Parts: sequence; structure tokens; C-alpha cells
Amino acid sequence: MKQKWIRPQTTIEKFVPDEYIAACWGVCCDTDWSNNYEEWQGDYSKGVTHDAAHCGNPSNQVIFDDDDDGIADRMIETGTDGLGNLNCTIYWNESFSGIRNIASVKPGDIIYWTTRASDGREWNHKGTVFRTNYDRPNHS
Amino acid sequence: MKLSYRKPQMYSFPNLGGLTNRQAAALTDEEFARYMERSKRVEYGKVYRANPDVLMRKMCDEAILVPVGKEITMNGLIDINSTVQFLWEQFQTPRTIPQVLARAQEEYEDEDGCMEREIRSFVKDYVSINFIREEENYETKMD
Repeated sequence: MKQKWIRPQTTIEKFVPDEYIAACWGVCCDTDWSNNYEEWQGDYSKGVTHDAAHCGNPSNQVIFDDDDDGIADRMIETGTDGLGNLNCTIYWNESFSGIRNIASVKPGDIIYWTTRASDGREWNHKGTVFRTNYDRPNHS
Repeated sequence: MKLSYRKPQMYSFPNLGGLTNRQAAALTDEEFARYMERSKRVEYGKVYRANPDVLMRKMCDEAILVPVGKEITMNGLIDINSTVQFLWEQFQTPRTIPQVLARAQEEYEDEDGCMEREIRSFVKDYVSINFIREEENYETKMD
């Protein structure tokens, strides 16, 4: 005997759109070092500047652990001065030549990263990584 | 004699006939009916498959869809009823809507005559959230 057809029904529970679990480290830009770097390479006068309210604020560097394995997968800069969210590319040293896999970053490391705006300007940052989650000492 | 009251239902179907909604709305009723038939033919020629990054888990009589891939940005569990469970199982292999409809007609009694509309609407909704994907360049084989 055939079953009775009932309308297909989908119910979403605990729906949290686009919410990722943050990795357990953070970083803020050493704005003095970074402004000196921009001056040295001639970009400071072109509006490539760093300040405490933007990249210097640790809350503005958001590190994502997309698969919740305790290892960072990507970093973006939020709270920019009208530039929207910017993807960060992390490097091993101040020459900004070798891209560093974000998964290798751990608290205590000094990291270098760049952000690029849609108008072509590129910022060079430096910062010391600090731990944000003391409940999970075995993680990042 | 009074008509029997039916719960208001809304279904959404894709517009695949090549006109914008505004252009289609400007057609005469007869032209519009032909246009909708054309759109439906296009829709029925498409092959769909469930996104492999969405897994179905069963618990007693209940079934839940769990997105596990990075493509789907949804941290949640999706409760589905037995009909969606059936449809989800059908789309584990690439299938057209008419193929799934034929399977559903074998399994279910369609007393209200809503089955076809509800399957079309289900596919459109699930495609919009990337739970079901259109298979490009897939040769349709009726089974």
C-alpha cells in the first residue's frame, strides 16, 4: 500500500549564518614599525598609514578556524577606515617575500602581513601573536 | 454548495524560459501559459544531485541534514521530514525532476494533487541554498 504524500518540510535548528569559531590567537599591528616601513618604501605620503584605531586594534584582526580544528585557516582585517574587510596575507619576515601558511602561526611569533585595498594600495604590517584562549593550552 | 477550505500554500518555480519576470508578466494569458510550459521543459531537462558536503543522519524516525563542507556557511542542523528524506535519497544520484516524480508516484498516494508542485518547489529551494546542485553536461538517462 502506498504512503500518503506529505508536503516536504525543512526546519533549521541553531541556525547561525556564516559564523565560524575563532582560533585561539590574536594579533595587532605594531603601528610605529609599520608607519616607518611605509615611509621607508615611499607609500606613507600616498595614504598608506597605520593607526591604533584600525589595524592597531587587536579586535580588528579576525582569525578564522573554519573547520574548528584549533588551527587558523585565514585572517581578515575588519574595522578599516572605509575600506571594508581586507584579506591578510602572512609572510615569514620583513622582506614580505615568502608567504607563510597561517596554520604555522602560534602565540609568541612575530608575523608580517599585508592587506590590499581595491584601489591598489597595499599595507605592510608587523605584529606579535598573543594567546586569546587560555582554556585550550594545547591548541594554537 | 460550498467549496472546501484549503490551507493557503505558496510554491516557487524557476523562470527558465529566457524572459525576465517583467517581460513574462507582460504576456497575454495564453502566451504566458505557453511560456511557463517552455520554462518547465527547460527545468525538467536539468539533472540535479545532492551536494556531497551535506550528509544525512538518521536518528530513530527522524532525519537530519548536516552541512560539513566549507562551501556552505551554515552552522546548524536541518530537521527534515520523511518526504524530504525520500527526495534527498533520490538525489544521491543525478536525477531529473520527472525521474524523481515518477519514483514518488510509485511510493506515495498524492491525494491533494500537490506532489509535482512540491517537488519542483523543493528542488528550487534546495538549489538556492546549494544543498542540491545542477549537474552540468550530464546526459539524462531515464531509469
